[in-house]
Amino acid sequence: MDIPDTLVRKSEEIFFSFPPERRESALVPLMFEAQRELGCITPDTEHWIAETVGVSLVKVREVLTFYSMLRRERAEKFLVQFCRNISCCLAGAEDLQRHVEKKLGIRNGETTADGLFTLRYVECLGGCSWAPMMLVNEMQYYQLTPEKLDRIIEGFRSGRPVPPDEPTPLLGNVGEKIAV
Amino acid sequence: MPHLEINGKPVEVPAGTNLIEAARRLNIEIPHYCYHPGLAVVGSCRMCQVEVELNGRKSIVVGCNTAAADGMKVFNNTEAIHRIRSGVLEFYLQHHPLDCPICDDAGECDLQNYYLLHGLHDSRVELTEKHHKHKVHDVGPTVVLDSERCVLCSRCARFCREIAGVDELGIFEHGGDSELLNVPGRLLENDYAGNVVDLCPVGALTDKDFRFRRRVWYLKRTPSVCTGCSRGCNIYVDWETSRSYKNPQRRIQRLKPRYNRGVNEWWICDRGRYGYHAVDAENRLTAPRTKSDGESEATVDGVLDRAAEKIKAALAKHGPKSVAVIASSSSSNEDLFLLKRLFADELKVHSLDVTLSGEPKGKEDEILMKADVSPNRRGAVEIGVQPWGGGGVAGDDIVASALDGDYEVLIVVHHDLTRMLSQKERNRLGQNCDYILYLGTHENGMCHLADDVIPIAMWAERDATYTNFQGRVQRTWRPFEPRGEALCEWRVWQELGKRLGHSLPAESVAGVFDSIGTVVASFKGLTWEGLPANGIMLTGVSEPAYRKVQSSHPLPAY
Repeated sequence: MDIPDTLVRKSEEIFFSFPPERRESALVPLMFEAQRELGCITPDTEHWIAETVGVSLVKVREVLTFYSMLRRERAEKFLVQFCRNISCCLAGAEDLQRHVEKKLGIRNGETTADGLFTLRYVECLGGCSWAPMMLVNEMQYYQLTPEKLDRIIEGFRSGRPVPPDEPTPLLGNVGEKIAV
Repeated sequence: MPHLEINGKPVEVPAGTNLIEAARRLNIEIPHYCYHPGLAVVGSCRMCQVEVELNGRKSIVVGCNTAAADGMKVFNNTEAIHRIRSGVLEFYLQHHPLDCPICDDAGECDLQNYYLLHGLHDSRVELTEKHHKHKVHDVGPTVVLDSERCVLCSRCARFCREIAGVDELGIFEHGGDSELLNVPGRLLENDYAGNVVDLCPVGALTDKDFRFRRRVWYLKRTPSVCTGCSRGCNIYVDWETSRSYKNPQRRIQRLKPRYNRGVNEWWICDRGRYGYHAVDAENRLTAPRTKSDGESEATVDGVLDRAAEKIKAALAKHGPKSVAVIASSSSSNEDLFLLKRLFADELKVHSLDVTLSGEPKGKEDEILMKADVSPNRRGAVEIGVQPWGGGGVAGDDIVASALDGDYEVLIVVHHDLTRMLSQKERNRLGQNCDYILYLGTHENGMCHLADDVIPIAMWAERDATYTNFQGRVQRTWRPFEPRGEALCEWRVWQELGKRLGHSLPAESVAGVFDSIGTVVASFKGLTWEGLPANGIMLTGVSEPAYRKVQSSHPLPAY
C-alpha cells in the first residue's frame, strides 16, 4: 500500500527513539501517528505497522483492537464512546445508556440517519473518578446526567459543542490530605 | 528445597515450584484454566486462588504465579476460597451457551468439572440476554473455534507463540467483547496446530478430525508410541470399537500426546496426530495373497510353507548368496531381532539391510519432527540388521543385484520397491527373481509384483518396542487385535524358522524382548517387565540433556 512519505519519516523517528531492546514500544505511538495521518488503521496499514516495528500481525491486531481510541474505520462525524464499566454503571450509566439510545434513536454500533452520530459502548476509558463518562471523538465529558447529555448532543447538532470537561482532582492533593 | 503444607499435608518441592505443581505432588488439584506447565505463566484466569499463610501473614494468592516457600501453609479448601472460585466461575459461565449436549469436550471439560466443585449456581442471565460471538469459526485446516465457549485462557495463543514459534492466534477486542481469533486471512496452520485442542480447557477449540465422532466417555485409552518418525513421541490411543454402526472401519478415534519430558514433553506434531488413519484405512492388507497356480485361496500357512520350500531349495542349490532380505526400520526391535537371528545367524544370509536411498523422507524441524520417518532405525543398527561378513550387500545394491537376477529368493518388508523403480525395472525384477515374498500393511505395487504376500499387523495392533533416535527403548500396548489375518512380523520369522528347522528363542513378544536383553550388547539387562512407561535408555547411552522448548519463566518470590 502507499504510505505517505511524511508518515514513513515519522515512523522511523518514532522507532529509533526507543532503545534497541525496547523497539516494540513504538507500536502504540506509531499507530496514533498513522491514525492522525490516514484517519484510521486499515488491514493494509496493520501489515505496514507490523513490518515497520518487527512484530507479528497478531500482536498489532491485539493492540489495535484493545484500545478504543484507535479506529479501524474512518471516523464518523461524531463518535460517541460510552463507558459501560463498573464505576460508570454504579453511577447510573445503565439508565443513561437507555437515555442516549432514545435521544439519538440508535443502538450500540449504529449511526444516526443524518450520519452525524455513531454510538459505541466501550470498556473503561480511565475516567472512573468522574463517572459516568463518555468520549465524543477526543473530547471527554464527565459526571453525566440526562440533562447534561441532552445539552452535549444538542451542542454538536447545532455546531456549538459544549466544551469538554477537564479532569479535576476530586480529593485535592491526595498525598497531603489523606496520608497519615 | 522448601518444605510446605497444603491442606495440612506436608510436602517438599524443588525451589521455584509453583503451588499448583506442589499440590499436584500430593494429588491435590488446584483448579485452573490459564496455567499449563509447558507454557509461560500469565495468571489471568483467577481460578487457582488459594489461601496462604507465611510468617503469620495471611493472604489470597494465585497458585500458578506463587513459588512454594519454606514454612508456607496453603489452603485449597476453605470457605473463602470456595466463594472466590464460585464468583470467578459465575463470570465465566455468564454468557456460556450451555451447549454441552453437542459439545465434543463434554465429559473432559474444566467448566463442567469446576462447576461441580465450586459452582452449582443458577444463571442470573436470561438466555435471550446472552452475548453471541463466532459460533462455528474455521480457524485452520484442522481446528474449529466456538468463541462462545471460550474462557480466554490464552493457552492456545501462547502455545503458537512459545512452542510452535508462529503467532497465529490472538485475543482481540476489549473487555466483554474480547474474543480469541485468528487474523482475518491468516490461518492456524502450523505443524503443531492440533495441540491447541488438547490445551483448550473447554470446548472452544475442537478437532475437525474428531468432531462429533464419539462422546469421550465411550473412549478407551491405551498408552502407545507414535511411529511416524524416529523421535517416537509418547501418545495415548483413544479407541472405541463397540459402536460399530458409526464408521465401522474406524477403531482409533483420536491420538493424544502423553507426557515424556525427554522426548516430546506435552506435545505431538500433526503428522503424527492424524497419521493413525493408516491403521484403519480401506487399503489395509487383511489377507495373504499368492500368484501360485492351483491355489484358489491363499492361506498364511500355505504362503509360509511355500516360502520355506523356496528358501530351502535356493540354499541347497546356490548357498546363502542366493537369498536377500530387505528389512525395514519401521519394524519393531523384536521383529528385527528374530529376522536377524534367522537370516544372518542361522541361514548365513549376508545380503540383509534396512536402508534404501529411495525411502520417503519427512520434514525436520527444531521442535519434534525428524526427517527419518521410520521409528526404529536406531534399533536396527543396535541389533545389527545390516550387511555383514565378506559378501555383505547393502540395501541399494541388493535391489541392483536383484534386477540383475543374482537372487533366487528376495524377501521385502514394508518397502515399496516399485515406487523406486521404472516400469521396465519392475518387470525385470519380477522376471529375474524366482520368488519374491512381501510383508506389508497396505495395498501397493509390491503386492502385485511379489509372488506371495503376508499381511502384517500395524503398531496399534501389537505389543512392541521401538528404539528412537536418542537410543531410548519405548514400548507400545495393544488396544485391539490385528485386522483380518494380519499377524505380527516376528511371528512370521518364527513360523518360517520352524519350517526351516531352526527354533527361534521365544513364543511371546516379552520372551523375544528378554532374549534381546541377553544377546544384544546395548540392550543388556533390559527386560520386558522392567520397561518403564516412559522408556529406558540403551546401555551406555546417556539421557540427552533436557531442553525445555519454552524460555524459562522464573516465579516472583512470595
